[in-house]
Amino acid sequence: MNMTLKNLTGYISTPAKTLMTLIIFLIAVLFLQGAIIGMVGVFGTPEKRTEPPQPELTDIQKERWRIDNMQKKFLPDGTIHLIETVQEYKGFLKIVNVYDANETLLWDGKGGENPYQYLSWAEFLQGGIGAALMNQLQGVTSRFSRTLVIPVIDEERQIIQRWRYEPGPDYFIGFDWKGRKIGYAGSKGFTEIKKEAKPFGEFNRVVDWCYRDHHAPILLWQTTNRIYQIDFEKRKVEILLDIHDDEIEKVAWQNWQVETTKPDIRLLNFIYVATKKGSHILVFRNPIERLTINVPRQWKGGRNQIAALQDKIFLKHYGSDWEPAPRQYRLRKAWWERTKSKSNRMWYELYEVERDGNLKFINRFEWKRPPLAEKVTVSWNEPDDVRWKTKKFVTAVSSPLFNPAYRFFRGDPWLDEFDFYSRSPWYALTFEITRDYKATRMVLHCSAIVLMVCAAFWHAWSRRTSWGRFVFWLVFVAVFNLAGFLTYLALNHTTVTRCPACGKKRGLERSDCPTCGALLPIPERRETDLILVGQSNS
Amino acid sequence: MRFFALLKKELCETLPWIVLAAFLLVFCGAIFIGEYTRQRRGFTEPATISPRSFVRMDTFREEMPLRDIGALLLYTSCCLGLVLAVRQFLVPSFLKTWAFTIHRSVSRTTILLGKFAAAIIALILSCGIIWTLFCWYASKPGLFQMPLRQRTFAEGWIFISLGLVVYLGTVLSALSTARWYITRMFGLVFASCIYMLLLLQTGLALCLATIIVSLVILVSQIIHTFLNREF
Amino acid sequence: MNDIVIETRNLTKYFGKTLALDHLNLQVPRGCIYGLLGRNGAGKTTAIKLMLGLLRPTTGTATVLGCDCQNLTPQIRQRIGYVTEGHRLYRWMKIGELAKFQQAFFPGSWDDKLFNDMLDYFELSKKQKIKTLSNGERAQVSLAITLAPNPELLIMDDPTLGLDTAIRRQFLEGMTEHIERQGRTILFSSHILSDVERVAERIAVIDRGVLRADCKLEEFRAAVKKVRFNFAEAVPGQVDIPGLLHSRQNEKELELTLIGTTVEQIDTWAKSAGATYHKDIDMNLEDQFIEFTAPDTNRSLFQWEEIK
Repeated sequence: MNMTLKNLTGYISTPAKTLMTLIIFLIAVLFLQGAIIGMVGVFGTPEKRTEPPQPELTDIQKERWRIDNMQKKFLPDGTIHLIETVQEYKGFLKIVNVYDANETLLWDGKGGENPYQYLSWAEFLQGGIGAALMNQLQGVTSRFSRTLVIPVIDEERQIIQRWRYEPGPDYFIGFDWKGRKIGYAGSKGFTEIKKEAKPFGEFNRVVDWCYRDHHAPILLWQTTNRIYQIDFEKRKVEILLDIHDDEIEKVAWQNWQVETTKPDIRLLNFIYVATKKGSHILVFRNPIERLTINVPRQWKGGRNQIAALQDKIFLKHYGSDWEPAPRQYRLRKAWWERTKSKSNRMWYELYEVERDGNLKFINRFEWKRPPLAEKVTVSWNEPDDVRWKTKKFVTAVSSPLFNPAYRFFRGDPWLDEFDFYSRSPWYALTFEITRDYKATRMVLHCSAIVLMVCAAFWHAWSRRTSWGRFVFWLVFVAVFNLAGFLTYLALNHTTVTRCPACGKKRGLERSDCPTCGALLPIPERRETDLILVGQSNS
Repeated sequence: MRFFALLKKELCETLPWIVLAAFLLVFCGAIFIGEYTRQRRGFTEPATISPRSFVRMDTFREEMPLRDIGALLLYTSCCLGLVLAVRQFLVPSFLKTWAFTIHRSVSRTTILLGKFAAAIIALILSCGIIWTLFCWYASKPGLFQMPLRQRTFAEGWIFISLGLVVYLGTVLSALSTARWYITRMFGLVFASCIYMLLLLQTGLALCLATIIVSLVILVSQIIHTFLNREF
Repeated sequence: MNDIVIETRNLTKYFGKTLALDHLNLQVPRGCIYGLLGRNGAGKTTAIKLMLGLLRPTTGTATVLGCDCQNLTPQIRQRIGYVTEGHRLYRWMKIGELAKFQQAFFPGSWDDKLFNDMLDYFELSKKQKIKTLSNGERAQVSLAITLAPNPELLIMDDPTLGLDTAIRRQFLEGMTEHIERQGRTILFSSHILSDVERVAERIAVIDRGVLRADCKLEEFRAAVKKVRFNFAEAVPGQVDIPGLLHSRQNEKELELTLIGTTVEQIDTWAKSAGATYHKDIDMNLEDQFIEFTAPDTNRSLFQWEEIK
């Protein structure tokens, strides 16, 4: 049994040992690289970066950009106004000019005193706790993971109930002021029976608000397929939207958290949802109603905005003939060269959303955006500071696997709204490591690999025990570069001695010399040795 | 009988450390819990946060008295693992009792299993049982705001498992016959990496998977090294 | 039953680049008291540890009680008693606890009466802690717990190291008492030649990892001689006598260390060299051992010069 275990563990322990050593050396090399780059950045003298000068606009150009710089706002009757900020003090004290579509001045003065009531558009859900933060809360730290706890208070502001969210079963568990369980809140509502509590679904975001006379916050709980409204005081879970065959892409809301009892509210309360499959849905309150807007397929969710008054609903679509930037970074320079000198048509279109969800065109405003090259100069050259230069050399010893790994993990943060930590910290960590430490100078990189392989070859030649192992380690060193070479050395630095027959170096791991095949020499017998065996004890 | 003789010997050797770890946990844990219950006046309290703004990281609070014990449990189990490994594998090297130990009428595997079993029993006795008792106490209705989460209980056991990982990493370092002293420490370095890795995890399943993989990596090496090592 | 209890074949051990044992070929017959001799660093402990599977040979093999040393089964280990160098025991245990611990591994063969008798003989109590014992007392405990299971083979690595004369005498008496039982074999290494002389039947001498002697004790005693020659005139420059190991001269005297040289050969050479007188110098085993294992370049502190 001992022999079998020895053999079995030998098969597992050798790769385990190699893996463990490799991981440690990879971390060590990364740490060293980061330390060198950091130290150079701190103590090195930074060279002046030659930034390209930003162009000065001529008067004619300034005039052309004027329209593009103006805010475009719609009145409820469809009229468009162009608002130009003439003077601004620290972002809040604005002096504005209001023009019509023909650039006729209609009004000027302080921005806050503007007499026109424009349509205000629903804002995308922000704040609260997103998926990334929820993930972070659940992190296993030395002070344990955390979760949401919703308090319910009484008239004297004493907490009488606590509702704790359990990420595992994905519902809330309620406790009274003595810590006794009082119920569960899941997708099917509040219940006292555990079996009846159902999970909400893959969490996306939660926002909260509280009415003046309420004793507990109300949550808007967004998952991948549903939006819930959870009222802990009234113990009510409402499913505002359920799209089981689609996924929610964007959510915007207008006045949803405002109490509708106020009669002077001009704006309607609604939630606007754009899905990944291209559906656009409005959800209204009191009673809950849903309206699917028939939006043309080619209109992307982010280019549409909704505003709703008590009697009308509007959709604003933003369009342009500007060629979007390509996803692959390496194609962007060509794209920029192609598009920077082109002027583009831009437009806003205003539609009324009818009861059946169809769009009725109201108005359109179009203008020409001058070529971006007039305003912006983009430099595609690499930075030339000492830190960047050091990085070129230091990353030459990184593993060649970093480059394909980076391409694999890379999303496009400019276009995809890539939220690293909502995926997993591993994803983000791997992406950041491969992005920051992948080799950038292929000649240096390949030279480093060749050097490591040659060093490994020189070291391993006299120590070889079999061709398979020999080739394996050379390939290993080539694939992992410096970390691979250090791993090889740590695991294979065995003793060598000179073969007395051929004089070449040989390891002691095998009984014969790998060069000449001679065995270890037997010691010479001296005439004076007294080896008298074969005589029994009597 | 031979295995139990080995186990008994190992347990007797490490008994002072087991008692010390248990005492530390009980003593400090009792202080934390006692202090918490002493400060609270009744079960209700004025809401210090406005319900309008509860869902914020800075105002959110979940009061759990065992939170402070988490760090204590983690460090105690890791330190205990370290000490156990040193006592079982390094001290015999210094005292040169390995030859006496190895030359038993049992296989080396049995000797190694005896040591492992003693370490696991030590961790369970000094950390596991006390943690379970703390959790049972904290979950008694009427004592604290809310009973303990099951996940928190599981996380405590994750910390104890981490102590086992540190133990195995130290064992591997102690048994290592690598030429360079730095490479001899790799077992311990690996255990430290697992420690830091674990504290980056967000899911219990991932934590468990990390621990299991690290245990496989360490245990396989330890068994192979011990069965082939020279003493 | 096999007559050879321990057998090594070309047993070689390197520690790094250092050659500790070089193609050791040894056979220990059953029922024999076998002494393993050598200077410091000769390779005695290495050889013993290789035999017990505590070390792994670079090349070569060793078998103990018919079993390969690298795979000694628990059943074979049960038949082997091993006294470690320095008598390293668990310091925190009491003697009684240690005995219980040892007993667990020899369930059928443990002789409690023998153990108690030995403790009485050595005037030790079971309640004493190992760490409170002196070197000698620890050696006694070590011997007691090793002999109590009645092992078939006893391997002892320098068992009397650090013990005073009286304790050593007691130790050896205990050892020989054990060997009077049929079929018991003892292999022990020692620096104390007087002890070896007292008990050993066969000896092996290891010199810098190489086996230089493997014979009966009497044969060794008979073979190693030191002869002093007196010359009327100058000592001859060349010494050509069979079995010459070392030679020293002092004006008109010549001292030769000879291995296996017969009396006739000595007389013949003395006549041919022109020696006026020659006589054997009395040597005990220690003297013989020192001469046998002295290095080739023997730089004397005194006026004796080496003649090659």
